[in-house]
Amino acid sequence: MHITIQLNGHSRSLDTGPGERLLNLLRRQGLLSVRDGCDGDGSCGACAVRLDGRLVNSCLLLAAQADGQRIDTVEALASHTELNPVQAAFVQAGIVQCGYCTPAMVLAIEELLERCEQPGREEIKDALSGTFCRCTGYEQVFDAVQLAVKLRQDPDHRAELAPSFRPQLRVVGKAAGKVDGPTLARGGRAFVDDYVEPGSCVLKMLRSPHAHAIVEKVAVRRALELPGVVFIGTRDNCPDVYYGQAGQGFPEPSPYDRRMFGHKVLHVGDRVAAVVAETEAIARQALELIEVDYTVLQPVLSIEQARGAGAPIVHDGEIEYVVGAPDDLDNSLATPQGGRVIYQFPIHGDPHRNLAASVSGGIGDLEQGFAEADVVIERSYYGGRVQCTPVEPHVVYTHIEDGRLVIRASTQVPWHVRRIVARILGLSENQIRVIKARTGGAFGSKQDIVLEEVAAWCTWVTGRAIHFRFDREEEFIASRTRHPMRVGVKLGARADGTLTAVYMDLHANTGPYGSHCLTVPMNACSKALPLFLCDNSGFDVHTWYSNIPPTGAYQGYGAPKGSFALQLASAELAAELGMDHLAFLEKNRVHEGSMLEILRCLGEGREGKPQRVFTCGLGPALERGAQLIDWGTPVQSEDPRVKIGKGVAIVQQGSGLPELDSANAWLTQFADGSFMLHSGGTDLGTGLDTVTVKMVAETLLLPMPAVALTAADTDVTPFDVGAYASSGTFFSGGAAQDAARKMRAILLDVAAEMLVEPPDNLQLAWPGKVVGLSGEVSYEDIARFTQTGTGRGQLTAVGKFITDKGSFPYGAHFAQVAVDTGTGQVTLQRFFALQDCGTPINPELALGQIYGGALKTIGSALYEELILDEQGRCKNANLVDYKVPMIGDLPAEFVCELVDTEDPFGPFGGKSIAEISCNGAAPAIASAIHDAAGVWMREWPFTPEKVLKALGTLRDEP
Amino acid sequence: MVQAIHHPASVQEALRLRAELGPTALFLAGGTEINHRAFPGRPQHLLSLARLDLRGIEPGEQGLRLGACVTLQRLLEHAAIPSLLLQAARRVVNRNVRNVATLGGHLAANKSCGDLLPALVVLGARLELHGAQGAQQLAVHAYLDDQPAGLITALIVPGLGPGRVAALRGFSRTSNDISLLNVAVSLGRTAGSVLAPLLAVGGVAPHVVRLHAVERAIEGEPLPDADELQRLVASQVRPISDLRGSAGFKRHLAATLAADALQQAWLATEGC
Repeated sequence: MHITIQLNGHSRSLDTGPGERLLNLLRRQGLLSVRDGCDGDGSCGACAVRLDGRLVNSCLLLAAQADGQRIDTVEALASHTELNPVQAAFVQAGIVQCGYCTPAMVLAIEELLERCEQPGREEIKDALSGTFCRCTGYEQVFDAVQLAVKLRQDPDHRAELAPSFRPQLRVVGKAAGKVDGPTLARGGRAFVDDYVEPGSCVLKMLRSPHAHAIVEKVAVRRALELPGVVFIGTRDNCPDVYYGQAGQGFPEPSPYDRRMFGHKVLHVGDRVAAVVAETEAIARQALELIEVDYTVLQPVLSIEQARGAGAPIVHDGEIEYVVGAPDDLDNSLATPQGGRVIYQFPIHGDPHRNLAASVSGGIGDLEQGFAEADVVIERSYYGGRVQCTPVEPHVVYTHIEDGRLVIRASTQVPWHVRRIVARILGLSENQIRVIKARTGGAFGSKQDIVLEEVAAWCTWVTGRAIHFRFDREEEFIASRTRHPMRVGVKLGARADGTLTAVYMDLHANTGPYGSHCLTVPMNACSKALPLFLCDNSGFDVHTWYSNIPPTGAYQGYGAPKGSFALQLASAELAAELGMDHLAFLEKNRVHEGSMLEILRCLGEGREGKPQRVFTCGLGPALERGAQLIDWGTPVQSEDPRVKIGKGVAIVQQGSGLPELDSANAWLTQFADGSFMLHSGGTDLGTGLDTVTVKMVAETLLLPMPAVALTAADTDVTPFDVGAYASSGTFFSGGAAQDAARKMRAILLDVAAEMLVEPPDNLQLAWPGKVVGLSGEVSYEDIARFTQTGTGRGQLTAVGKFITDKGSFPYGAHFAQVAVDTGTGQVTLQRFFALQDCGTPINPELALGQIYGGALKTIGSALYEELILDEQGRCKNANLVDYKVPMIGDLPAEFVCELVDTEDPFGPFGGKSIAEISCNGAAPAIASAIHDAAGVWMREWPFTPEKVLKALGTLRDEP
Repeated sequence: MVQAIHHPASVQEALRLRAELGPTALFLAGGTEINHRAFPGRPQHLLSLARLDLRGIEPGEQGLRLGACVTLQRLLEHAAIPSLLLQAARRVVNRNVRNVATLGGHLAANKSCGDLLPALVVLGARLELHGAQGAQQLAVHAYLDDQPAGLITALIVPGLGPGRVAALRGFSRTSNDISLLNVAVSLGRTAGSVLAPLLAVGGVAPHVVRLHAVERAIEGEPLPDADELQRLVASQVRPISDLRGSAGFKRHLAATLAADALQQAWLATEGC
């Protein structure tokens, strides 16, 4: 059928089917700003367009419904060189991170400003009430809108929306724009979906309906006969290679415990068969035609079940070690269908009793420490299943180009993707090119190779281009979730509040595969214990296999749960001591100059190293937070049923992994004196590309546009471990700075030759020249000089970053809650996050990281939860029922501030910012609930029902 | 799989097409329900109401007449809408949805969590239904109970009447979550006693229900205290446990919120 619409001001007659969604029609027209994040349930709003002026979700409309009407998308707002005021304001305010939802937000605000010239907070919240953003925590959009209002009146208006640091520097420490901001704000081609060529095949996965079952038979003949089906991959034809999906440095601490398709399925949603077909409809039809025989086994869902005597064994096949096999390794009971678990080195697992990994350690003498204590408390805390929910699901596009395999991926770890795929396919790494597209949110979930290797294999076998995109349900059941953890904490203190002993007994549930099974739970200890200076500290960590949806990395990497347990326990101990929690924290916390001896036992699968704390902003963070929240002053509600309370938590993280991670960068000069930076750094929307460009611009005294960037493409940029462990600024930024410093030395050397002066007389000067005593040469002069037939050749500098230093960011989070003791509802009224990230290279984006991180854990603490039934089936695999925070869920007062410190090792004094922000909300909120209502909430999420039960208002019913 | 979309030009044509095509044809207003990924039906024909003139908002003898295709957002923007209904419409937090979702669709979906439904019930709203037997008017609560087949064309919302007061309570876990519970109440006062109370609750039964027994129990007496009201309401609701909450929690919530709404309305009648 034909419809006629006014599309971005032009009358268009378009062909559509009666059931086609407007979203699909518009994407077919090349309008790439219209995106899908929820498979058409209208909950994410990434597909928003204006229908006769009003903002609507194009996924909830049939194209036919738009017949005769006007449709406007963000593509019509700006030219390729200019942004409209709303877009410009968004970039300046730092509200553009991954950019996946940005076009929808821009349209919403554009529409708002047309009907309301001076909108307030409530009008803005209403305008954005349908848009889900996982990166930014929304808060900076209020400033962005006010700026847009001014820019509409005066295009030259300048506003300082973020604080500025290091007055002696030009771009570092300043809100100086985001290099990818304009493209993202105008909805330009950026994401994997935007690169899919017409005629590409679609891959759909047949997934297990059972949590634990032997796959007896997979019959694909009928499906293969369906016209349009190109290929079907199953356990019977896939490479017989065991591997791990965690994107970690080689050799990985995570075991190789899966094949592409196993002879057993280990969770609901596990892979059974991959169908490659010419259209999505054919692929879906083919899935129905595949016949699978299962022998269903009893599933293991909880830590307690996994540990229990006689528990079903998740990995009951052969156990192998590349090095260090234990003497008592016993494979006599291994089953053939159980496959293999290959440890690269011992991490003290015993899969035949469901133990994936374990580690213990400590300093001092715990027994002695508890004996010295006047008060000892022992508590247990639980953090359940939460998911990263990037608005863009996992997606990959694979094809063959010049006989080589090209993988365009939304990934945090391009080089690990290349290494893992090369090993599975038996290719050398130089046969594979991995290109990271812009990433529509990742938050850890894209640190694992959860779909790339299947698409890559199918492309390599068939020669066909393949588009493989998770739907939202797959995102919940088949990508990655935070490891559920049960954390026992035992604390001892003297009557004056001095800690004498700290012990964490941590059990984690890794689910079906051992992705990050040692390192995530260990990090729960290594980012929690060093916050307290206590001579007697110890931990035991056990990670258990089970049949829940797979777990892995999620912003914070275990620390949010370790921090929840230890920080809340410290609040409980302070209460037991009759001491103010803030005073208790002050008395026991880490300081600048502290030596963190506990890190000796917290290496990632190898021996750790004690680290000195060189910078720590905790003092000012606690002081400022206490002032903001008016600590110590009780607040009364007018409603006697509503109780108000305040809580605090201190947090830390690392800045990459010393002596494990590495990053590289190349810097090349062009003939006009401008530069191209080739960075391995993997920007996930966080602003890393802006960081690396700033490193060069600042070091070489150039405006940022004089430094172009190409990043995270394994063919044309050098190796980088990828975006994880909060390493971006420190490592990838450090490598770019190193390349720029080396380029500076080369420029001085050439200029010395040109000016006939010793290099010591020379220095770089703004903008882009070298000045000596006798004269000056511009970078362009230098480029022309070196690139002639008599020159030394094009100038190139090679930078790298490795370190043995751990630079820790610190912070304090404060929460004020109102507990309705009648309904159990906890309302977060005020939230303050004060964080030290060394020099904030991009202050506006650093703040955005804090807002976004804090809001994720606010969600985890209060409502987010993946609910499984007793058979391991997920009951709420969509954004509404899972409950992601929307703008309407913001606390009435939400303030993040940067505490100034300058790190001696990071580039321009920078430390990490991304992950730490997830660590404080849960304990601060739980502590505030206690202050308000007198109950300790020790289990995520603090639902109204659990609160009422804790209050004794509601009883369990039979 | 949708095979065709039809654009009837009159209510009669729409009804005729519906009769011809049978149950595989559905009326399509905004589409936020029917086009939703999780919509349980699999219509083959959609009968678009776009060309029917069902978007009017006008005062009439029986009350405000709202066309079935008035969107929830248009409702919020109209000056004459009763405040209780505005309050209820605001509980549909997602503006993108409000811009498309219609009153008629909201009624026809007849969901237990339908945010406007308890308010419409206690306002005494009636709807116009066109079916095989011609047009009829029936009370919203009667429609929700039996959901007779036909096309809803309009909603008539009378004024509350002198001395009558209404109140609303809703509860959802997050701003955009589906409502766990909605309670609406309207009542009058005569000689210190409750007069003609209406109490409607969503979230405790397959669709929004009036708690007739509670209405009868409080009629003609001074309003009982909160504990007694909670006990009364709790004894009259039988919610099920699901992923939004246990039956016990929902019963507690219904009792708490209904008592709140009743007390608020009762207090407000003092000034009338």
